[in-house]
Amino acid sequence: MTVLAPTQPLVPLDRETVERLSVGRGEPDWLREHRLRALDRYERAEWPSGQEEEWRRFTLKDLPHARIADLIDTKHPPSEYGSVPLTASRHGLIFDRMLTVAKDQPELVKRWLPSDEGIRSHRPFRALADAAFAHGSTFLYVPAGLQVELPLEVHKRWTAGTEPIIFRTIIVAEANSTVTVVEELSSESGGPRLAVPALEVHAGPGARVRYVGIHRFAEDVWEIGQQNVISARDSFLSSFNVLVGSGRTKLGVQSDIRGDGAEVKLYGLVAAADSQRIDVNSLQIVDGKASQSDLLYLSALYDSAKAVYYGIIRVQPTSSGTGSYQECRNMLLSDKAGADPIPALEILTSDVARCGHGATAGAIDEEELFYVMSRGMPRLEAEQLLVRGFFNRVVAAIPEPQVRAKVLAALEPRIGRVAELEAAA
Amino acid sequence: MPDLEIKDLHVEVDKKPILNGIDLAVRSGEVHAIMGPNGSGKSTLALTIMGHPRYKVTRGTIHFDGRDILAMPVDERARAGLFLAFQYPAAIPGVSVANFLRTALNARRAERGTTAAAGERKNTDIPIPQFVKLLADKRKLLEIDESFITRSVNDGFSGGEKKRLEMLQMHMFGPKFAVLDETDSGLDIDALQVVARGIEALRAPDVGILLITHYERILRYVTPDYVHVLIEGRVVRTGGRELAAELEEKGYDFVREELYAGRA
Repeated sequence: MTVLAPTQPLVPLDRETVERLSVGRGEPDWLREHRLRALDRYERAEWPSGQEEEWRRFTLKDLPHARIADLIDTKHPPSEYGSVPLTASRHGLIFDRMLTVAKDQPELVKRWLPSDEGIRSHRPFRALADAAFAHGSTFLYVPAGLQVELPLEVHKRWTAGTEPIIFRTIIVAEANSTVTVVEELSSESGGPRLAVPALEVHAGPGARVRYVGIHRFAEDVWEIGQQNVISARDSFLSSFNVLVGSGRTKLGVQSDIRGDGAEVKLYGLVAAADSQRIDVNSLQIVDGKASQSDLLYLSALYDSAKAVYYGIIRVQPTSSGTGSYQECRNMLLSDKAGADPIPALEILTSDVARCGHGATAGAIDEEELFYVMSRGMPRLEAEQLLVRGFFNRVVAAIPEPQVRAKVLAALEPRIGRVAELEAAA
Repeated sequence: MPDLEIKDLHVEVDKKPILNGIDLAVRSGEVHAIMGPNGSGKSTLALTIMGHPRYKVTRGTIHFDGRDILAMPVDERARAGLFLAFQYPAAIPGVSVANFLRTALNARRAERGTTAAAGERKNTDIPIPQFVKLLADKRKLLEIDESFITRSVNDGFSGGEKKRLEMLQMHMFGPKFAVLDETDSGLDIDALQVVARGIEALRAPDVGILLITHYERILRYVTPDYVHVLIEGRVVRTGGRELAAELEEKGYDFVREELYAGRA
């Protein structure tokens, strides 16, 4: 067997740094050992060569320097806000910082902390997050049967600094539970900075989970993120990614259906301007009987912003009668903006109810623009209105008005102030 | 008084001349009907007045309220008080009629000073209760069902619904001058009467109306002060209400024949 020599890690990391980080945070021994196992994976991980389909359009050449040692005793921990309804916590809901839960409920965290190697294209970053996750890490546990009616919200804002932003968010919704989580991520600008967020969502049998991630890191941040969502039988899982920040964003999304009758909806809204690059790759693994997996990403691109989308649907040989779709639409608001949507299907069974994809990229419709402007709106406002309408397919899929309002507020720098009139109308 | 004055207007579309010297003056308080066969330049005239970028004015002038509107972009013309009811209104998926109307009204009310910093923009937005009342009143006038306003603008609308929405917008914005481009086409008799009522309700001493139509039918419900016949990009005849009846009876060929006889 040939073992490929690993390429030089882009983020230097050694045993001593990992141990100091763990000791500095006052972690239990088992957590430190977990980190060291991840470090072992990190050291063996193969870095992207740039030839992979997922990395061909996103060079890591200028990745900002990240000193993990700076995370030890950092002067700039992120501010976090979250609220847990009292009644839900009485019923066993846990929604807190990872370290707090690791100390209070070690067995629970031990069970859910280990991940497999994650998204293939993002393995080195997965191992990095597992070995060096720090401030901003969150653990949410919803016990079986618990219906959490109000959305749970956490806002993580990093003040100016150069230390990397590395954190894990783990969401576990046990059988037949219901929960909506909103995670807002932002940072103050202050120099090039690496952000590596890693999200895992586990929807248990019959669980209903909605995750909304609002990403608005500062313009000098490189975000290399990944999300794994895992669905058990008869669960419903929807995920919304609102990508408005970061000079460079590379997000890997993987959905893994592991049971019959599961339903997954993966939504994304991308609003990028200046010279932003937003690159998303996705893998929808569809298995079980009659499971459904649908992805819809919409991008509005201004100035010389570029969006890349590369997605695969893999319908497993063990599946039957499943339905899946992948749709990526791009609206270009400038001659210099660009979009590159690349869909791919791998259908490994003949027993499929539906499977397909649709991808488009085009300029704003001039006749629509003239119509809107003829009502008195200047060009910019008219464009904003059209983008708002374009995004509505995703925004309208969020049932809670307060969560919709948060998403619209995050998009406001691009799509303007939204005259929400639903109540009045 | 806001008058519309068109002088010697020549317009090309994709290098092809469509209007060949239009002279037209519509004073405030007047309703003028423009009639003409297909391809005579009616829609070109409407879209040129509003400022569609595909329509190139090669000669002539359009003044509104004493201002040279050819120098103004479409949105500025709208805010100056011009309104066009489109023959083929665009659909805007994902934007409800209510939000569209409110966003447009707010855009029209915003003070656009050149020196004011963006952060200092005064809130001139229409208060929601006032908006809701205005919308309810206009809906009633035009017999528009409440469910209509939560739908996306023109998205999946029938022809008649689109024309009603054009009428609703016209009344919500309260223009000084309205151009209606074949708003009567393709309507059943009930819808036609609603549209006609909408036009009559707009009629006022300080409002001018240019009603572009292919058929005489609408003029049974709206009485114009003047009727102009447009053929091959020129106004070839002008008369009163009776001219429309004559056209209905004899068709456009009789005007054409007169025109060619005159040239010969």
